[in-house]
Amino acid sequence: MIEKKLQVQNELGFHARVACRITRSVGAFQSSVKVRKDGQLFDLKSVTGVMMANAKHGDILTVEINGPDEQETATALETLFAEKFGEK
Amino acid sequence: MNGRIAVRGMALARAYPIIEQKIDTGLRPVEDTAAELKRLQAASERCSSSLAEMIEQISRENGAEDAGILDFQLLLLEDDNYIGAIRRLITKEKANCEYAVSVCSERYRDELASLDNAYLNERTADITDIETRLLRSLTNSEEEKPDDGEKIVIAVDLTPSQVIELGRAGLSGMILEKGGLSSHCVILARSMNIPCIIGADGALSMVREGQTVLLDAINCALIVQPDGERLQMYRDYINKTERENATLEEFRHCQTVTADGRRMKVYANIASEHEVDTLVSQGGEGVGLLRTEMLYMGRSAAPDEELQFSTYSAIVKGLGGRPLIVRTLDVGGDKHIPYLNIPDEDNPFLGYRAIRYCLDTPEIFHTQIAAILRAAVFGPVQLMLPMIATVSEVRRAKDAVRAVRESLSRRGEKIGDVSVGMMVETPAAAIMADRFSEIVDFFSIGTNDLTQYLFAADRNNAHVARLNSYFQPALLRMVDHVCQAAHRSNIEVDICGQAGEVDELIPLWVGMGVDNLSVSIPSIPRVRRAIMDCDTEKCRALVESVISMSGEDEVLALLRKEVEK
Repeated sequence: MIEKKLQVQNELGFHARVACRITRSVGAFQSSVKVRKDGQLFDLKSVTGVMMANAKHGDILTVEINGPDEQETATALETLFAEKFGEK
Repeated sequence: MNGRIAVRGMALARAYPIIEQKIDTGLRPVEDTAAELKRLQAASERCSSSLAEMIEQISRENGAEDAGILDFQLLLLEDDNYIGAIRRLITKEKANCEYAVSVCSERYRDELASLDNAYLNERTADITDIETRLLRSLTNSEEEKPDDGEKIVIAVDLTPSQVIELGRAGLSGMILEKGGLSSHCVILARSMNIPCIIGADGALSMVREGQTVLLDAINCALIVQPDGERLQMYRDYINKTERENATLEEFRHCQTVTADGRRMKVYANIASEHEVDTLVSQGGEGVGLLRTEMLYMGRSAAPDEELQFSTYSAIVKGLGGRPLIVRTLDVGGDKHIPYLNIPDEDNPFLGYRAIRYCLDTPEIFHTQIAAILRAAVFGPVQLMLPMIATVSEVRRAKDAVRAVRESLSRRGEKIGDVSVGMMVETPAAAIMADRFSEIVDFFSIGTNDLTQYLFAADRNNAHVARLNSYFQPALLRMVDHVCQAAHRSNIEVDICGQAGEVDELIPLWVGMGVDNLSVSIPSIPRVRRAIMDCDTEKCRALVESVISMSGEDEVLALLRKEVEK
């Protein structure tokens, strides 16, 4: 299991439009990708999970990555977060 | 036919009535849960494939942005928390699909609504959308997907996503038995140029599916199986419109001058820096209203001075010398922005919001002012105060601007000259326009809210939305009064509400001596052309006529006659 702290760069946080992008991007990985927040785990492969995580601009999220391709996933996630998941 | 014209025009096509079926979502326990789960799966697959088709179409035609709403629904159908929850409810309680879908959708809506996030709160409408889709697919009665081919839709009311969907499949005209002039549906129809009549009681009983109908949203009529004469009238109208539209292009990039040589400007209302390029390419002469609320939403803390400064500067630079009018934070209890600590109110629209809140909260207000003053180094910027009701509010706001100016100078920051104006949207401000005009640099009349407050009627309330009308002499008198006060004090007066771009009203604004109209970006060329057709004196005579009338029907009749000329 790899744990990474990643900051939300999206101006409007994980709002509904970008939640779709996130779900689709993260869905491509084999490993599970979850955000641990306030004692709860939010699955970033589920659009509900992304939204309920209620991540705002600037939030630093604790992300838990677990699976056969966790190294690649962790690296890819860094880029995804930094590039705001493709949001303009 | 009963009703009011929401979007002028004419359409000839076959009738496509949409009859809402009340779907029974009561609990009807089932024996065979496996079969029920299969039913759900089938319905879900049907919805997924029709959504996927629509998304593909929209992406091709319009770009990925618009497809976003539907993509969210598609993902919900794959989401364990939504569709998974429905399955579990069916299995656990031996429930029928309809009940499970309805209950789980309700729970999910509640969860979203409970989050302290305005964007997510608004997604509850999407949940209702997918819920309705699933329920319809389950009952399998009316095949949801409309066929291609031009049609005139008749319904009690429509959701925005229905309008978009139908728009994909040949929507020529719309008749709603309910609907309101400023409802989202009508705004969409207007932007898609779809002739639309609302409040058409009994329209559904006038037609049968497939009949050829002529929707006359010029004379407010619905003609079933039109005869030769009506068909000719329709063809004449279409030819005339096509000729007019061809000439609209040339109105994108010329100066706005009335027929008698008076210079005016057509601005646009925007909410983000992403709209500046389109504004410029559509011929906007400036930003008449920059809504700043978006900067504050979806965050856990207020946007700091640097973020605001960088946003405002980007807009100023993008405008290349055209003026930018920034409205300071105009938000209240309705938008659920937790860090503002606005207490729950029974009536947020009459509540602690906008300037009232800002004057009490310097950490928010002063930060915004500082960012605006600094951005003014790059081009002309004006600051506009929302929801002003008393002269003392203006004085306090100007004191705040002065204080921030001094503190920035002490910090050694470069700042620009910023004129300070106000929105005239409360009746109090409108009545006292003479006093206000002496202490602000410009007025911008917010006709949307002014009309609501004036008639004490909620535009979203179907029972009273009718009262909320720009054609009522009360509103027109009020706007004229504000304009007169502005002229006497030699300050500019703008209109930034929807009324600014309504075809029939533009001659009135010209006649009242409005200096600038701030409209939606796509409307810029049309509004400019309309202004250029106006002769100020003739328009003034029109104003004199309408302000002496007693009701909107008279006003509308006169204005529509004028537009036809």
